[in-house]
Amino acid sequence: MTYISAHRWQKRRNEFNHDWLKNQYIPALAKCRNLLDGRVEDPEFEAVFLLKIFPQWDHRRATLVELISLYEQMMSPQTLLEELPLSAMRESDKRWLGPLVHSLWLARTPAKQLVSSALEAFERVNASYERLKDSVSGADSSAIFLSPFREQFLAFRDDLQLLANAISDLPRDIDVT
Amino acid sequence: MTLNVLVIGRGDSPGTQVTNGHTLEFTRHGGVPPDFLSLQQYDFVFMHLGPANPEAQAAIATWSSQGWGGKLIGISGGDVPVWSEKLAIPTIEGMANRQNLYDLHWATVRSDFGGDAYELASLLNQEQCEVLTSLAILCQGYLAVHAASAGEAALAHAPEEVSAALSLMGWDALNDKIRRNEPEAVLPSNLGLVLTEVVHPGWWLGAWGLSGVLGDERWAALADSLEKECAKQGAAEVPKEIGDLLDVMRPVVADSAREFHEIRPVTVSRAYLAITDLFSK
Repeated sequence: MTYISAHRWQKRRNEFNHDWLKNQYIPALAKCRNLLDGRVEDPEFEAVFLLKIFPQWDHRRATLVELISLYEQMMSPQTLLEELPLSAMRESDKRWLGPLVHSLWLARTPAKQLVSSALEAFERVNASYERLKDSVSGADSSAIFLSPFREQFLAFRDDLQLLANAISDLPRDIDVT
Repeated sequence: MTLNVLVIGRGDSPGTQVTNGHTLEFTRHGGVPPDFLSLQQYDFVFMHLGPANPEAQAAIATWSSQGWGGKLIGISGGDVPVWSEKLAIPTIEGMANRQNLYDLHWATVRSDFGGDAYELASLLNQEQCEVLTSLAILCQGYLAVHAASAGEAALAHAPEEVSAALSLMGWDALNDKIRRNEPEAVLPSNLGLVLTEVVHPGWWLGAWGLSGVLGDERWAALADSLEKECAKQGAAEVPKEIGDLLDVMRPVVADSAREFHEIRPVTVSRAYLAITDLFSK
């Protein structure tokens, strides 16, 4: 048995960070760099990037904020009071033991700092995204791969990589002791 | 003879020893077809099944035809891809980075491990330790109640084990934060009031849904699970300190109303320290 709450959070993290961010979005940005540097040509990719790939951040960012915000709630050892074998405990005991276990966990682990770091990384990505979005608005698909946007693209991609690392830094197991 | 394990798809790194002396070596790719890496010198090979290693499918087919299929375990940062279900190799999910591989339960894999890839994957990817974990939580509750009711002055003279356990579980850090008025640092207000409950074995048994009556088969099941969990953590037997705590609450007569011995802070502290020691392996 895997702890239910932790498993759900880990699954959501995997879907966002591993399946989408690391294996789809960042590689697409890496391809942009190659296009910007003139190392490859891919007219088909250029045509769809601005319309379909780049805006994916708009659709995903709310999911990420929710994911990071839920970390403390779903990965706290307090959740184990709702699962076997402790779910049999009296409710009156859960009312004091749950908050106590949660406070002790926050005190002895860097959970809060890790969440803050992930949120800061998110804010940096978001700011880079908005800058780039403003810069390329009105440009046609192929024009965005011209050199004026190169630095902004690279900054966006670097910020995304830091975000992926910050999300990976959130532990995958409930830390009980 | 310890295991020599190659991990493909999680960066490059020379051999690093993990618990029980097993060695993990990392390389980015399985090679270029048709000249995939030789697996001759490795006992097991963890192959990343994901887009970053497009060679995986062909490499696994080649290695299997060369008689090395039994060494293979598939790994993935997220869910294992659907195409890999046809490969007939064991898989481990959630291995997004190198640290995840170091953090697997290598303590459960004896240095003379002689099993196959499925057995290895099963040991490394084992279930959680529900009883040990729940016991750790109950120990934290008990010790916090003890500390809150004893007060700081009395705690200054507490036995070494009690101080160590309180510190490890975050009690000192939490109280430091409370003194600094940090908003998330709070203690339940009625902690000291439940002291008479937590010193009673019935509180511990009740938390597990046990009656405390002799003959309750769930007690035997819990003790059995505990033994298995300790073995999974690499202990040959249940550590004495944990056994001592369980002995105090063990049902001994067919009457749940019998008189119990109060559970003492030192007994709980020693058990807690033993659990943290098991989990740190």
